[in-house]
Amino acid sequence: MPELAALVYQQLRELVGCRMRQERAGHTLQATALVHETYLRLLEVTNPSWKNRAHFFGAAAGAMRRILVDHARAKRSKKRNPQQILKSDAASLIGRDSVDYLALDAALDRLKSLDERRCQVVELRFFAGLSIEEISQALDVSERTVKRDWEYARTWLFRELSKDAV
Amino acid sequence: MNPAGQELAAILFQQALELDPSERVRFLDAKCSDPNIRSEVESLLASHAAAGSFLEWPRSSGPAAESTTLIGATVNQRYLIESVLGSGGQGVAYLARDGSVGNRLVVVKMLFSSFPDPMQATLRREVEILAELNHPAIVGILDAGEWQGKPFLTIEYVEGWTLRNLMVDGTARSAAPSILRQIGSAMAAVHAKGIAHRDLKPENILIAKSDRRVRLIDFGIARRPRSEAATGTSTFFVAGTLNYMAPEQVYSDHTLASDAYALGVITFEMLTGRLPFADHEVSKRFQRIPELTPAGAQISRRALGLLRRALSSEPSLRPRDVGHMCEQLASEVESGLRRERIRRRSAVAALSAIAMLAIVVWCVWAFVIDRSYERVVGVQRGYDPTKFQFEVVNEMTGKMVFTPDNTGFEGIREFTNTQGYLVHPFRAAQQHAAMKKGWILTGTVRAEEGGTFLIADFDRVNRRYDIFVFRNGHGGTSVRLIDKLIPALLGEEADLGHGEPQFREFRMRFDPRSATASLDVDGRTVLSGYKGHSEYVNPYGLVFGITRYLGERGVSTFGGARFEILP
Repeated sequence: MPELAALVYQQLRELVGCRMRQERAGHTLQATALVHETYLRLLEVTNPSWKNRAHFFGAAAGAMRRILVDHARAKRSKKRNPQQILKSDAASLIGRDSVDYLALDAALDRLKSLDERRCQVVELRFFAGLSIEEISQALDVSERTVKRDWEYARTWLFRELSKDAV
Repeated sequence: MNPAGQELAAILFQQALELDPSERVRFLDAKCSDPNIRSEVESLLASHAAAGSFLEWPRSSGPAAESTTLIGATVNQRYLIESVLGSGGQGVAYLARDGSVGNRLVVVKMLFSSFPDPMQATLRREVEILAELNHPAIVGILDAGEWQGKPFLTIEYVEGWTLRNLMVDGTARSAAPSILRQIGSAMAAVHAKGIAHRDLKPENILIAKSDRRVRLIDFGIARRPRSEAATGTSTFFVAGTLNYMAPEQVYSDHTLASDAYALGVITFEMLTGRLPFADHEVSKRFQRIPELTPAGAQISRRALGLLRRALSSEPSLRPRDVGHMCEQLASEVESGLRRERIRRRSAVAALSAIAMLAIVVWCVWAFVIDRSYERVVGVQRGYDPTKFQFEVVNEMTGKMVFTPDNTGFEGIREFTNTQGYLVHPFRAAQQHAAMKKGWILTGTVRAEEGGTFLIADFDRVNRRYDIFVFRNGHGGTSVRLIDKLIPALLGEEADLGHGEPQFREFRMRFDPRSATASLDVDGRTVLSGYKGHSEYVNPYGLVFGITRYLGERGVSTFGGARFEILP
């Protein structure tokens, strides 16, 4: 459902942008709240045809990832071009500005080529802020599997990013 | 390494991770002979240790572990932490004993240490706000300080229920006027100081067991709408509270009017038992004056008009004075309840006739609620608790409420390894009426294996009465009136004779003058002077079920159970 993904992305970006314009420094908003609110907004737009929550969360997690990575990229180019000043960026908006999103994005692509499900777990957990239980419902696997996948993927990504740093 | 080797390493890593670190080497020695895979697993394990909470959200990484580590600790050489009352997005609330004031119970709130310093300010702000507010319906602050570099806050402990509990057990509607008045008065005081609570929800409204007084809690994110930049603190929205959040709260600032919105949602839920907008009705959330459909519930036109205004998507259209709004809603609801009571009283005669019919028609659950809280509360027939399969009909509607596939029961079912039971909750008013006027608990039971219990449990008066029928190990059946559950089921006992299990009618009658109950079996008084007990007063209501007492399993057949409040 590519149109759905596009719609989610557009809505979520608008919401993040809108929050960023209003926010003053130091404010944080949980990714979960952003994603849930996007869901509500989309229900409004697409009502009543859309009922698949799991599908939505997959799309929203992907969209959050894109937004954060896009902003990280914009921030990097901003450093080269100091006229362009952004008040705050998406990463600090959700309180996760200590992560190198560009490196994480590349590492996630590598993880995806090895194992797609573990990559999905990271997207849902880290970018959409879903709980283990919610992810288990969205992916239709047991909670234990989600927990194991999450620990593995988190460790694997950490190692990849540490390699990059060296 | 090839993909298969990579996957094997992943699986071994995941399994090793769930073991105690000391056992991991032995595990890998046994499971992993390939040195390449072994080195990959070891590399992963080392990375896992180094990764710490990498990518973890603050609220999901620390809390579970952190919230329990303080149990048994003494905070600030004064508060002995006993247990965790609850944890939210930011911190934990502990139940503690205050060593300086006669070991009284208090609540100690602390933030997760994974939160950065600026966020610790939320707790400091809660301290400031609570210190400024002095109102009987706002939880009282007792102490605040810093312990091991972390700020903590101590507030009074209120034993009782949250408004959510009352909503679940169906007593919120009748209590709504009193609750609304108290919240309204408290919120008016809060707003008068220019402070918005911002997180009003049923979970943050406590009702004390002792005097039914309401206390508002959790001012953790409360603030003055225009002072945010000055305090420089962070906002955390928790997804679960979206239901009570005004539309503008997600997009822009929270104003005092957002609290009016939350109060509108809470009132609607108290009166109807559900939220004003269902998940698929999001467009309604954005109407200036939204349509509200209180399906099945009686809400006067005026009250509905008030609620529609409170739930407006436009903050300026909501009632400005929340105290006045709550007072108006309270008196509307009150007169509505009075009208309902009068209507129901005239229906009592008709209902009694239906109740008689239920005894004639075998296999009917007569879920008769006499709204004036006098007389029959529940009747159950033809029940096989070993299978938990019933055919149950709600006598008022004629509809099946408990189907053979165990769906639709208007009560609570609980199962553990050793027991299973059904609970039909008593309303608070029913409990008080029963203890004042007296009651009769009747059950027809054939106890075949293990134990069968039939309980009238009144949490509001902290009293519970258990009839426990069991096979006694000498090939006979006994009945015991329980007065102690721990360390064993103890109480006065009567032998009901030997032989094969058979249906017997147990009938317990509570006399309010002596405050004791007596038990008849098949029309003969076998035990009397039973005072009940107050252990484990939960779940409450009419409880019937089985346990594998002294045996492998419990098997019993219920011919019927009935609880009646004396006229």
